[in-house]
Amino acid sequence: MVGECLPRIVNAVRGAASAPLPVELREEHSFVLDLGFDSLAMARLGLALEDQFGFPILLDSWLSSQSDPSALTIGSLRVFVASRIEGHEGAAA
Amino acid sequence: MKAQPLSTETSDGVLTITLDTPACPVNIFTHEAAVQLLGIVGGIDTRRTRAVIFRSAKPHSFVNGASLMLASAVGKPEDLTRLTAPIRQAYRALGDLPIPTIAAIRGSCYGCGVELALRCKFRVAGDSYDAHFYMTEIADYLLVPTFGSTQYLPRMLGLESATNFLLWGERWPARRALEHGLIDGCFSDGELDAAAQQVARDLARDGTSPLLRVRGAPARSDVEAFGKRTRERIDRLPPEYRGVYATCYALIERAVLKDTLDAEDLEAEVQASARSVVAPISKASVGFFFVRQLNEQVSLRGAPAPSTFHVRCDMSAEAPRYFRAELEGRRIRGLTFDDLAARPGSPDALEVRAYGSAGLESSSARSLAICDTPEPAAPDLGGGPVLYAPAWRGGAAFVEIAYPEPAADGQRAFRLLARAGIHSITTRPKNTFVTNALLRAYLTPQVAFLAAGGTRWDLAATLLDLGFTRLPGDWLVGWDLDRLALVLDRGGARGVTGLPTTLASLPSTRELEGGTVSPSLENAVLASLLAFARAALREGSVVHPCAIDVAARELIDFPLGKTSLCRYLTVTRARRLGDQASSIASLVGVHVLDSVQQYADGKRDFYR
Repeated sequence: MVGECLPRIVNAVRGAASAPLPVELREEHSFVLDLGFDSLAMARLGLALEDQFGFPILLDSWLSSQSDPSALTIGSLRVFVASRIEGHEGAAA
Repeated sequence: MKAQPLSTETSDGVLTITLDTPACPVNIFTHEAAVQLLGIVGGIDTRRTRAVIFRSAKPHSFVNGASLMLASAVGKPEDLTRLTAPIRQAYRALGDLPIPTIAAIRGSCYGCGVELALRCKFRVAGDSYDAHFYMTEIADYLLVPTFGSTQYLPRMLGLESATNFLLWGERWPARRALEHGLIDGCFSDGELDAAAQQVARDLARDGTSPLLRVRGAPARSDVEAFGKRTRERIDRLPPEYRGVYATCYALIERAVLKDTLDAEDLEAEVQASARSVVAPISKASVGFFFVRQLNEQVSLRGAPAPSTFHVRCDMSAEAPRYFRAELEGRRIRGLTFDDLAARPGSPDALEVRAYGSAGLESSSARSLAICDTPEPAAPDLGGGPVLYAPAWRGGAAFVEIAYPEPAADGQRAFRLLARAGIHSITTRPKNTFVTNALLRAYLTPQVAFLAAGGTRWDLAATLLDLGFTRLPGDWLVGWDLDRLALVLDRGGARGVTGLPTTLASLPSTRELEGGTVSPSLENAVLASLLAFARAALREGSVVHPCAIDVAARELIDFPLGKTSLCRYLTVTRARRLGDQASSIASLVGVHVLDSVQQYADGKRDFYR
């Protein structure tokens, strides 16, 4: 399940964005610099991720994991969500 | 080409700068906006441009903030200095312009929006609820402000007004802001833009404008006596809150005691802000913003945002009358009322009648029933959504919108209440309203503690130690305690004689001397709240933990410094509570202990 999470993250990003997005979303895309995300869009992203993965996710700890907002990338979100999925699957096991 | 947040227009020597944050329902003063403003201000030729107006293109938002992602991402104090530098430079450049500058404020003016307006030489606002002023930093995020308010506001408003606004989080509509001297003119909403233009032309020509109120000197206070009272109030806050409040107040006091404002004063504020933003309690508080936003999205799920609301109230009943008076007092843009009995209404009108009233037949599917006293009986949702607001008359801006299935009228009510600054959750209650279940979970261990011989002072000390800034005795003022006792009685407080009297004796923050913290009561309160949250989610009364979190924050004042109830109550914390089961068993029911154990065994936090 962890390996499959990037397409679902991309779906969530497209669902939460309010600004036009690039045709292809890449791991190095910065939410702030490249995708036009502000804090409201980030809040929408939390719910869009929940719709994709099926459990409530709060993004505050991911947001505070970088020392610069521009370093919040799709790749860093993938790593964060994967850690949550592993915890979720571990709990379900 | 990427849309720019600012646009400009020049007419008759007046440069109008308009902020419209792209693809966002509210304005956020972003890094991009700061860079663009610096460029615009740097390019002004003061021989041709004789005045500047700063305004918003969004009717409901002047500036709501500088993006909380900025605060979230600050890992070290020096990060804040670096990340905020462009905004501080832009504000400074605006403040240094040698020509009249006017902030024309329409919509919410929060935090750094207030600080932006403070850098303009004059401020005018539209007279509606939309144009209200609020310093979010310490009240919502436990942060020291960054962009100058601790230094500008006390010099402008005086010590007491500045402290109430900045430190204690008073919200001021435009007229109140005018009374306090925060703004210089207040106009009807439709006249604001024309008035701002006229003011700019007057100032450019004469240096004054008859449209502006002449500002007097700020009220002088006995700094020593006021400082003593303020520090005593700060000492009544939970221990982990006191540092940031004391720091913020020290900056306010510094501003009052010093006539001139220089770069050193602003730098002292930045350094204090940088220290506060990395504190765990601030990080946790910022997280609640995302919980609140999540609640709005879960409740609305993309439902349309109407620009106007027409509400028809049953004026023969007290609760709808109160509802109307409360909302009318907030002067909401696009909101009109009439009497339900007066004439046929439009099909889009929201009809509001008293909960349980049988007198008037609904003429529309858009019918809401309002109940503003504690209701112990099982919810009757047969007549459509119910606005359950037992805390309303006690002053809490919180409403539970209960309906059996998602309905457009419930979502419309959510939108209307949000526009009025009232927090709502949407629920599908089963045997009782979610609000009641929360009140029972929170108050029942406290009542049991007192019944077992615990003192009010120990109860107060315990809640304070948990981080509650307001205690039940503060917010139960105005409640019908007889009816609240009936609500609690169904939740396990039976057997406590004189329950309304016990409820009336619950402590407030005014009486905190000498109590001793009871770890058993702390654990009992948390265990009881945990069992409530699990039950509400398991039975489907709420569909998402964020609704529980917003209810707990708005109704019982669950501590901001813990982010939120469901965020705080992790499985790890539940295990610790389970280890203390024997010591809390006398204060909570067996079902609470069972629920805590099941949650601890289940291994899944409410949020991942």
